[in-house]
Amino acid sequence: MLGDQKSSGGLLSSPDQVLQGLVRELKNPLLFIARQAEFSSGSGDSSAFSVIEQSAQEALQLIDSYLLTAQSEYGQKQLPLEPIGLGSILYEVAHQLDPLAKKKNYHIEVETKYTRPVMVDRRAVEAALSCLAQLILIPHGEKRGKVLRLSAFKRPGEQIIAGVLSNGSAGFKDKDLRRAVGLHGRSHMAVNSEGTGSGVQLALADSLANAMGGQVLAIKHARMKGLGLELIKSEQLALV
Amino acid sequence: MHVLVVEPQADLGTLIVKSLQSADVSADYAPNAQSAVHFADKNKPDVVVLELGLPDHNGLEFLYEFRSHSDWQKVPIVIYSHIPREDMGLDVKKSKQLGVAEYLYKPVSSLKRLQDAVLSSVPLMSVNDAR
Repeated sequence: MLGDQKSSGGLLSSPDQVLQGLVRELKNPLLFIARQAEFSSGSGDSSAFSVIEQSAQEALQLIDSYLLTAQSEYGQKQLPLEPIGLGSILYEVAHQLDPLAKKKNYHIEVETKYTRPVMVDRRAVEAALSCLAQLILIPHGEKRGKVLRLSAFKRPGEQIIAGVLSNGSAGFKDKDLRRAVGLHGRSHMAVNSEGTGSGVQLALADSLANAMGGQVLAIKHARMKGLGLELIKSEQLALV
Repeated sequence: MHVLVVEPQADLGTLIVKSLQSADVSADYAPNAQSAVHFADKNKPDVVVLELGLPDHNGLEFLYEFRSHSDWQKVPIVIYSHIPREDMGLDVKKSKQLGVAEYLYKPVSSLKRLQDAVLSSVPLMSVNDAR
């Protein structure tokens, strides 16, 4: 049924293919829930339907991130890397995150200090940044004035970073994050902090970053802190 | 304006029809390629909303077959699919050749966005096709 499903002989023959098939099937009811909630929000208690829609959208985003990661890791799909400016990616992610950010009393900003192209797959970067943002967008009471900044910048040592930063307390303790990301920037599954659950978003983001030759890092920038993807700059257009 | 919605998930197909009707657009719902052809024969659509992941047909093949009917060659198609565009190998050039007005990826495309895509695809029709 699914045009993007690859398996030998058309059957799901290995555990990972079964899991991927299951995850794909989960999208159908979630899609319906999200769209029905959107349609119903025009009448009755629109705030309740808005919450339902947003929850379903978050789940769909996580599923898509997992599928992209799985396809890349199991060799089913090579991520097609191409030189892309980070600005357009950051704005698209900001647009997708806006409803979630509002729900959690955050204001989103986009800052593109690094404007040259990087070698990435657009969907992978968007998915990875969305995963990182879900870790950071944890509500802390009704405090106003919290900012979520999506930023592209260069660190000393020529590291190109696409980051998700916050001026509020992120949904994890610093020491947990340092342990999770590790000395070499490799992520581990468990970010043991309230509200972050298993930290699967961190693992997915790191896996996607690896597929593009990069990694997830804990970052500080312009008096904000958060998580970022180290990406590879494009040499190709730099010669033009 | 009359729209044909081709969507294998019945609940979602019915919901899309209701959403279009709420925007004063009449719509038929077809769950597969065969019934889509049947509905289009009975009542030529002005726009087709198409999920490429069809149970009885490869979605792209259906698109080519739909275009092979002389009456339907200029009907704009709005793709509303759970399959990412990159996975269908449908680049911008091929989309244009096939008369695809817009390719919407379901998980990130709301009903409102779909409505807007349907309503804005109509100018693609030539004057001779207007009802």
